[in-house]
Amino acid sequence: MKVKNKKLVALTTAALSLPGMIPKASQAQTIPENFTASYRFTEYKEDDQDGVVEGSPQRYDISIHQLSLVAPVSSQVSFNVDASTESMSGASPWLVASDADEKPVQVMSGATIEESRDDISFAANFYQEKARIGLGISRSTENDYDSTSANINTSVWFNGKNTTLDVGFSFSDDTITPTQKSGITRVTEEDKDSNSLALGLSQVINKTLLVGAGFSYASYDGFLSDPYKLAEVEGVRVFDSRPDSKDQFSLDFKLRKYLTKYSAAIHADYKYYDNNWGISSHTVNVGWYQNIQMWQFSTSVRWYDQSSANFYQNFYTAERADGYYSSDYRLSAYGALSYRLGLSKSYEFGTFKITYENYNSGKGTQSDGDLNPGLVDFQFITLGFDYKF
Amino acid sequence: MGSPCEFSIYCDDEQKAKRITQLLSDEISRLENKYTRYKTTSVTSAINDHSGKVDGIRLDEETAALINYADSLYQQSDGLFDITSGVLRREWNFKSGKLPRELSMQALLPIIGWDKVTWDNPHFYLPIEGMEVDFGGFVKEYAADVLATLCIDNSVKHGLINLGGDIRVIGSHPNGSPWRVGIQHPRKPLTAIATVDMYSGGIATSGDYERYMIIDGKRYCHLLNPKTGESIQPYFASVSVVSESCLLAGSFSSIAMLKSQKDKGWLNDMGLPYLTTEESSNQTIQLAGTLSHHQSKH
Repeated sequence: MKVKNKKLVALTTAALSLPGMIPKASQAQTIPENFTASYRFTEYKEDDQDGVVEGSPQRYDISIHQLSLVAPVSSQVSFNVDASTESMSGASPWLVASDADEKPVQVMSGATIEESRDDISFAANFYQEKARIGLGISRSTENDYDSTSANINTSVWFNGKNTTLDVGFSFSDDTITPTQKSGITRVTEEDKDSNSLALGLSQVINKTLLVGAGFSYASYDGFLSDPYKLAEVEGVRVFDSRPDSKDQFSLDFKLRKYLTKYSAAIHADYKYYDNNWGISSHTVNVGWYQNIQMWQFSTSVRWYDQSSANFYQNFYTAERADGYYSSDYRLSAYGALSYRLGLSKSYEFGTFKITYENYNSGKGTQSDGDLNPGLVDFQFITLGFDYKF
Repeated sequence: MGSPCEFSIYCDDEQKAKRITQLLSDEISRLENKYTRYKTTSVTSAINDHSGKVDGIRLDEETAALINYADSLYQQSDGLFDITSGVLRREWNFKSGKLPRELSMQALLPIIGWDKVTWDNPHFYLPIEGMEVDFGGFVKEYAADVLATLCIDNSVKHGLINLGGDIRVIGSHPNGSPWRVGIQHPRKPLTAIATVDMYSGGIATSGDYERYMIIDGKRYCHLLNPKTGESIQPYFASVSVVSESCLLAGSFSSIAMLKSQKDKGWLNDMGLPYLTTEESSNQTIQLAGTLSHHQSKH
């Protein structure tokens, strides 16, 4: 990109601060300009489970189709509809057992599970010159799980639209009705509620630099265990059992720096997460977005590290006074590294995108003793197209 | 605005077109009444009436922004574009066919000079009685942009605003074809020397033919040097500039003309497409510049 002449920059800046030089519609890229229909297809595949002592080693393969429509129906109102359907097949980690050497080994669910999930959400956004209010509802159904959620959120622009404050609340009401299996008496129907609050502040520092910070808080109440998972306690298999409430918060920081000289942007993000089950985590994401005419190539790396829940163990050699047991790898201490490659091409009528991600999890800085043998590695590819009309 | 104004807008219904045309007319009247020097009720007159008064005048937001812009014009033109130089018109009468008297013109120079004003936003002081500001050098171009913004805010996607040759377009014609804008022939009134295809943005031309007189075969044009009071002898007969806004196009074409007496290459590095006309010794007109155009038959 050619560096603009200083005189041109000086006069342009002075001209743009005159009233009436900038159309209201483009002052903060607020309301979407076009109707946009998007389609995404994702093929997600987990690596096979090593060292399975029982069950199928083939873990999940998931195919996801997503459709979304953004419809700015007037200069002040925009509707969004999103629908997705996913079908999954494969086996899932059932429990971690102890072998003869007191080492953890993975027990998988037996037959391949075939599942599907359908999701639909609807949102309306109302724009004013200096604010936006959004209302949304969504519904997700599986044969053993129903979730209904609603959210309200607002963005307020001030300081010449260089500062954006976002506030959002969301509520969800979930019902789980586990599929029963002969020989195992699972719970029949349980509920879970959640409430969350998110606050965000972002600031345009200059034409090429944006920084932001966010805070979120969420609380969960109800049945938070996994009805399909077990844990081994003194050699006996018991149901996964977790506290019936959980509170969590997170803090995040972001930086977006546009490098005019290279026609590229650097994205850097950090997030700290903490919940009252004892899990805390750090996530660092760094990405490079390179524009070459109508093409954009992106690459990013994410590092993740978490501590374990205080009641988690691979297997239990003694009963716990609180009765909480889980061998779910997601509650263990681990670390993960993933990288992502993306390529997109823009046309006047829309954008084609392809994204690939490779994720590997393993030992983290908080890992102590034997790792959970069920830690997952996966890859996915997403193909997408956005059509503007 | 003292020159013909023309709006062409495409609208899907007639009522809406009428409403928008009315909005545009009202807005142009508002700016004209606010910034004309010919009405005693204008903001320009109020500012000038306060010259020499110690308390100065408190400016509204829009006028303050125009003053900021005038300050940038002064800085970026190295003092050649100076909105306090309008008082020279007291001595330069282009209809008289007479040059100003040297002594009277010298007497005006002390009340000219942007460097003499005090600008402490929103307080503006013209320190010497008789000093004047004149927004005429860029308010018409500004008005063209303001009208275009009004159109866009009212969902007009295709239109053209022409305020006495200062032009701003909003998109192309609905069928995608460009607006064909004529560039005035500097020596043949009402004749285009070239046309330019405009799909967006503004175009403005500054020429030595707008107000001038020829004395003993020498052309004296309305472009005056605020430091000497003399008429500038521009290298070009006219300069047309295209930019995202009509205001910038007008400012760059004016400064390029003012600068061209000493620095005819001033526009080269500005990054804006331009077209110059120059009169060669055999009185033919040569076109040059980076702006693609169609040359007219003439």
